[in-house]
Amino acid sequence: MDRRTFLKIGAAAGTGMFLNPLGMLGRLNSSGEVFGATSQDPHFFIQILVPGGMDNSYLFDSRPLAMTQAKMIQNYLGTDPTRWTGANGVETWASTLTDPLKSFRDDFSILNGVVMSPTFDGHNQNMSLLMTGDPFGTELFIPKIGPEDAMSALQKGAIPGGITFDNAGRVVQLDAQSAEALISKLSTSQMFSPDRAAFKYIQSRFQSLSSRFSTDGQFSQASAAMSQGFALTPDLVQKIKQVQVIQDEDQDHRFLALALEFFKRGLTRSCLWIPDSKSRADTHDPESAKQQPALFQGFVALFADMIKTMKETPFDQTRSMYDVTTFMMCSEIGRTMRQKNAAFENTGTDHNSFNNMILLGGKGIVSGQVIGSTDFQTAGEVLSGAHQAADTDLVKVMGRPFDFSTMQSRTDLPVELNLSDYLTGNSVMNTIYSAFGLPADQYRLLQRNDVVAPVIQGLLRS
Amino acid sequence: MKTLKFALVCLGMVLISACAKSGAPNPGGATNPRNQASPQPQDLSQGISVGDGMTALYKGYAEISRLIRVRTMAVPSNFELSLYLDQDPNDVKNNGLLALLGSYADSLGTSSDFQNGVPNSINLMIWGIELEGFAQDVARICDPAPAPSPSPSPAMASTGASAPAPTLEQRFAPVFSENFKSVVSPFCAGATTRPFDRDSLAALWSELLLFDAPSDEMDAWIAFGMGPDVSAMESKAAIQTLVLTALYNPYFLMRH
Repeated sequence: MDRRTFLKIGAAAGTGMFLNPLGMLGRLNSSGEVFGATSQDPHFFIQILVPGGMDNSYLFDSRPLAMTQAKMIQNYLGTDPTRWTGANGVETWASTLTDPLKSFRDDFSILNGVVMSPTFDGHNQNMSLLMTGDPFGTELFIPKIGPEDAMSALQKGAIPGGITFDNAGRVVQLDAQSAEALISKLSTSQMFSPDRAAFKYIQSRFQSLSSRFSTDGQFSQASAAMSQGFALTPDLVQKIKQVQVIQDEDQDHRFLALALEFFKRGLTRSCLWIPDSKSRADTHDPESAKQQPALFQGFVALFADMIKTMKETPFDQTRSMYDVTTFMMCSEIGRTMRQKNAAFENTGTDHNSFNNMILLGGKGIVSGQVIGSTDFQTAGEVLSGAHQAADTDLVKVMGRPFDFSTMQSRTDLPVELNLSDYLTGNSVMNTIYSAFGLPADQYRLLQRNDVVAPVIQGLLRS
Repeated sequence: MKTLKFALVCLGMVLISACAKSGAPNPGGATNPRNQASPQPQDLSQGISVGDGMTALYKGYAEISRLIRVRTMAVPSNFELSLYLDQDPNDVKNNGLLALLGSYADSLGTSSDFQNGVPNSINLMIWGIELEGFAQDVARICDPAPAPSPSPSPAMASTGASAPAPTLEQRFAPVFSENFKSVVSPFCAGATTRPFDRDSLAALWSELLLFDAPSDEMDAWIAFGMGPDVSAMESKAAIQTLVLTALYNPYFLMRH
């Protein structure tokens, strides 16, 4: 099936075929509050995660070529960025690679200068911080933003570095090809019929074993998970068998279409999307760094395709998938402007946890804005004491202090680093938590033993 | 010899049962801090509340496929359970479903982590498809032996024409051991032998599960096998049901 046919199927959904597809999902959380998807208020989530640390200067936190000529920041694209003005009046430099996103400028907001971990600059710690709220956390946030579905999320690709999460047992890594194989096999399987003797016996054993031993035993817990998972299979099998898997050489687009199908069919509400493994952004070596224009061209195309496809895919008669989905794209970390000891013409870039960039949009989010900003806009800029202490080599861009009440970057130069002065990754995530209606007691802290990271209220659609 | 093996299996299962009934914890469980916060018994109407970090993990695709191979197949055997998913375990680009059954994933060469080992609805579906396919093949033991395959045509042999690449079916198809076939064959008789006798059921259970489960788990399965549902089935359907229900069990699929 080509993309056009797929969209026709999507249009058919709008005529009633998929009306009220989320009835099963309209459940309450443990606090008795409605959040996430209900048949009246569906809410999905897509996270595009680019492991390795994107160099923001190839997207929305660029620097003029004058900075390159001053040997401050590499620019293997070789073109001057242009000014990108948000609907809130805040400007940022935008690489010409972002041109394809101009037609979607009102569909997402740009968050610049997001500080991640102030004490770790490694991938794993910052990835854990992004995904759990703590550099050594083990609880993935995605299962928390929706009711406890049979599938917490559909995932494409793997997070490198051997990071595992204790609560990711229902995050299913299923690419389009595997989904196609599964659907094909389920079409001939007869075992997931609750009326069959085998099904009843298996379920009875799962239930018996889950309650047989002490409830904190690992085997009992596994049996309970099997009992609960198995009980849901008849419903899931029927839904999965209806999923349309499109044929497309672009495996990322194919996966996006699959994820939207899973959303519409009520199979899951979240998607963790790690683009093709060839697209890692960890450009320490100069050869990789020089490939960044092509790399970011791909990321921009992927992001643009996601927005376009969601807008063209009906959810129901009045809403597109864009209307019911919150999405974000980011890395776990940013990058330095250059490497101190490398020849400038042949430099790679290293990690920078003081400046991440996050693109955020969709349901619940005020799009079109530019939020936050970074320092080192010119070679001669006077830097804060906090920056100079954290970046003695002066190769890093750093987020500027941020005033959460006015939604504006501050102009003062803090002497010492205090996370409460900055836009942080945990604040961004708490903003997403808020959009999904999580209770405040589940919000992330600025860091361990600290206060709750403030929600960016100006990003939330009331 | 078969009697001695069965007696040893029973002894092993009794010991497992005794250990389980005493509430003896998993050796690692007593000191695992993740076990400290135990969730309440689950209520299906409230959705899934199991803390994944506290569950036992699957043995994984490779181990389950190996166990079935060594317990039921003639030696040597290339049997792979992935046959029933149309996937090749050696084809890393096209075996995505197998990875969801628990597998070791290399991480930049610095560690090797067991991933996708927590039971969920999707991997239960995949296990179900595989074990259902295997159970169907076991039931075919009752079929009359097929006529020998014709030899390659002399023309093809003499010209040396290259044969097409072998299919997954040709590479991984089950060839059951004579011992396993002898254990299954009593179930191939007609409905006049119902209910199945306890010894035949116990022998089939022993071949499939060996020491994996305690004796009362076998007792429950035997009661099911002698019960009205299975007794009402025709032979092949009954064998398929018995094999599927024996293997689709936490004691077989999970580490414990």
